[in-house]
Amino acid sequence: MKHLLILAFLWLSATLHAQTGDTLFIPKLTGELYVTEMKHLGDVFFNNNWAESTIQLSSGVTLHGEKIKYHGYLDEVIWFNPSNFTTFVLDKAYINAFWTTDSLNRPVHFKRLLLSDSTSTRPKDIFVQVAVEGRNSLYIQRRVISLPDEVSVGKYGSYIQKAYGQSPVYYIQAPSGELLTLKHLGRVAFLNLFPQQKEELVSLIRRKGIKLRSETGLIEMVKLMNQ
Amino acid sequence: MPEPMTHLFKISLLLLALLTCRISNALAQTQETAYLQTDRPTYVSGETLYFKLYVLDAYNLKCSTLSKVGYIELRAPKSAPTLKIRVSISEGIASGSFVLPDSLHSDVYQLVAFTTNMKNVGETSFFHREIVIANRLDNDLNMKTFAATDSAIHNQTDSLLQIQTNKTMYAPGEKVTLRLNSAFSQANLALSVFEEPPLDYTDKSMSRTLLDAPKTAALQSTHHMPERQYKVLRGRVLDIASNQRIPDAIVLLSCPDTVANLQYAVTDANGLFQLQLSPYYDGKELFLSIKEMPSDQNWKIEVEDNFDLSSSWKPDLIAMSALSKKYLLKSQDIAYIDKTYTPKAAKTVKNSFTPPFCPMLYRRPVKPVYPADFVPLDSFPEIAVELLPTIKLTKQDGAYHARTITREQQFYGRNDVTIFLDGVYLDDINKIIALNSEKIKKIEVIENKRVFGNIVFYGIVSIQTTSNEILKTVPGPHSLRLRNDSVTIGKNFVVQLPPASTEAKFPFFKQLLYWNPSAALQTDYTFPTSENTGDYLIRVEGITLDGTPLSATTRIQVTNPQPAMDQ
Repeated sequence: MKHLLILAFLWLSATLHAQTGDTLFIPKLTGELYVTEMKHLGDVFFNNNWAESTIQLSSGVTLHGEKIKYHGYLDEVIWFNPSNFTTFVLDKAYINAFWTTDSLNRPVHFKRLLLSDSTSTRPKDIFVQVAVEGRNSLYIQRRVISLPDEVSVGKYGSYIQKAYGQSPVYYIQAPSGELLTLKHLGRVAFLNLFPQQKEELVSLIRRKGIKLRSETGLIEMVKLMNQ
Repeated sequence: MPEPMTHLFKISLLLLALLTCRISNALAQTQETAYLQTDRPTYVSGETLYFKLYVLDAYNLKCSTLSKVGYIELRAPKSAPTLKIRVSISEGIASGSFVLPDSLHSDVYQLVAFTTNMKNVGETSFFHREIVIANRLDNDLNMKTFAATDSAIHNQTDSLLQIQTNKTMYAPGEKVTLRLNSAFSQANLALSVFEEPPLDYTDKSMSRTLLDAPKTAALQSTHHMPERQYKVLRGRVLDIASNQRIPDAIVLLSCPDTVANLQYAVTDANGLFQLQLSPYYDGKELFLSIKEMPSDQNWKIEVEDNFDLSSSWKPDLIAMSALSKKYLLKSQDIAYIDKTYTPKAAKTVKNSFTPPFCPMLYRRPVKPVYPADFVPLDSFPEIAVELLPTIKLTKQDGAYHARTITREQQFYGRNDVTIFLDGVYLDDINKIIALNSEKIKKIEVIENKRVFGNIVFYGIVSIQTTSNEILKTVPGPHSLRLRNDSVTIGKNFVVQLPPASTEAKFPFFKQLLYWNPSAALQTDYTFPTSENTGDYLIRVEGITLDGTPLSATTRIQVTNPQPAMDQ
């Protein structure tokens, strides 16, 4: 009886709290049903857990505690709707940025970037991870690409499986606002992006002993360029 | 866990719950008080009324940051409000103007100002101010005016604010310079200079009104939440037959636009719903509908009118004095001259326009179908058959149903698609059956299952017509269509200069010489007098940052200079 009374009181207070707050006016997320793909090789998601994340909408409103995953192959945010236990592809144009965690539970910040493409008349928008932001900014598109199908041998014979692989693209935003693209990490590829500052950058790389073959080296380099 | 510890834990839980409840209620129920300052106490119909609304914390009289929407009504004795305006409040202050309709009859009127939060205390907490309005063409003026119940405003100056003028007597067209002095460094003030009417009008100064008012009053309800962002649309869903309130009903809101738009609310245990409006909905027709109402039920939507006042106003009136009548007749003449001769100020064009944020139903590209690009088709079923391959229209018991091929099922889904006509959720597909290629401009089809918050749509068809067909439809019994008023801003007061000697002469008569709703301390204000001679009242009211109300009045005289005597 006592337990019931306590529970009833707690429920009443929670209800009153909900009624008086501004929780009634939270904006709604919009999206289209996400159909989970068949079994495949490789990860299509940047983060494999439904991380409780923060989403900033294009209306300027920020939503907290939404369970999302970033789909690198579709370049879309997948949202788990707890009210109907269904997953949806959120409308890209409605999301300005989101803060989630990676597979190692480290916080990561993604934002929507408008990218001018010479092959299309209109700029396309992509989600990029914000690695460095400053005079020079480094954005990483956590792109997943489709690989040739693989034939696996199972209990009942061989079958074909789709395969996916990570293929990140690095965008360095120069102080002029120009976006420089780096598809493969390496010293030569990096220096080719800055032909006029080549000598200066080479001496900086040598002095600091930076290895540009790794992502951490590139991040460190862009941070040094901002100093 | 030992027994005493268990008890302690339970008590702690109870206290925590109680505290949460109390804090949330206290936050929601901060009481507000309002004060409406007008440029003068008498008007002629067709003239502009300038105002400044203060919404203050009732306890400490500091500007309230709670409500963002204010309501002002103008009403005559024992009658319904003749004018209702909604204003946008920023940091407790709203200023603007509105034109008094030409059709207003000569009478005493009352201005009522409030916020929805003040409705919780009751209408007695609303701000009331009486004004006199004379019809422009009424030369008899057989009207009554209010009985003097208070001392005239010029005796209500407090010592905290002083008005310093360069002179006390001015010639017509001469410049008046005044300065506001106070021991306070900053205050939010409004300044008006007008010809003093010979009325013992009853409005108290701001200082006296606010300081005499009770700090807090007993709450009559907690039903009205403060409008912290913008206007909130409140209503309820009821059963038509029994008037029983319906919980958990989904109420959809959309308005005519070129894109499908939506907002929704779910009714609570008392059948109540609240929808947060935004500037996007200003001045538009709102369409409310209930989603997926059970076929054996008959529900309706009722919406609360925030302007609704339960009590009417019955003032004590007395016959108007000859002096007051003479003043109002003069006001009519000046209003006539002003309308006829005052050159119209050029309209200022805004350089930038930021469209308000639209609550779009979907924000993904959809390939549209333009029926005009194909051979003319006579009805929507024909258009669906010929141009929309993923839509299947069926007829059952005389009513149409539309379904889509969905990606996950690969056959026509069992759930009906949702139709949006001219951006509005349509409660009945049969309303679009007659639309042909000529009337339909564009069709967008989303075949897949979509989500909007917690609502799932099994396909969407958005139809845009050439001539807003949605406005010609009649809402169903469980739908509602209403007009959403716009926020009133009005025009700013512009200081008009008398005609220069080189210009063509035009009559320059004014009863309102100056109005500034954003006056500051230790600042000089300059304006010219007009050819209208008489006693003018300079009235300054406002509030300091720490919540001290300030009021001050002083008089100046405008007279024709004495002709020089011949020696």
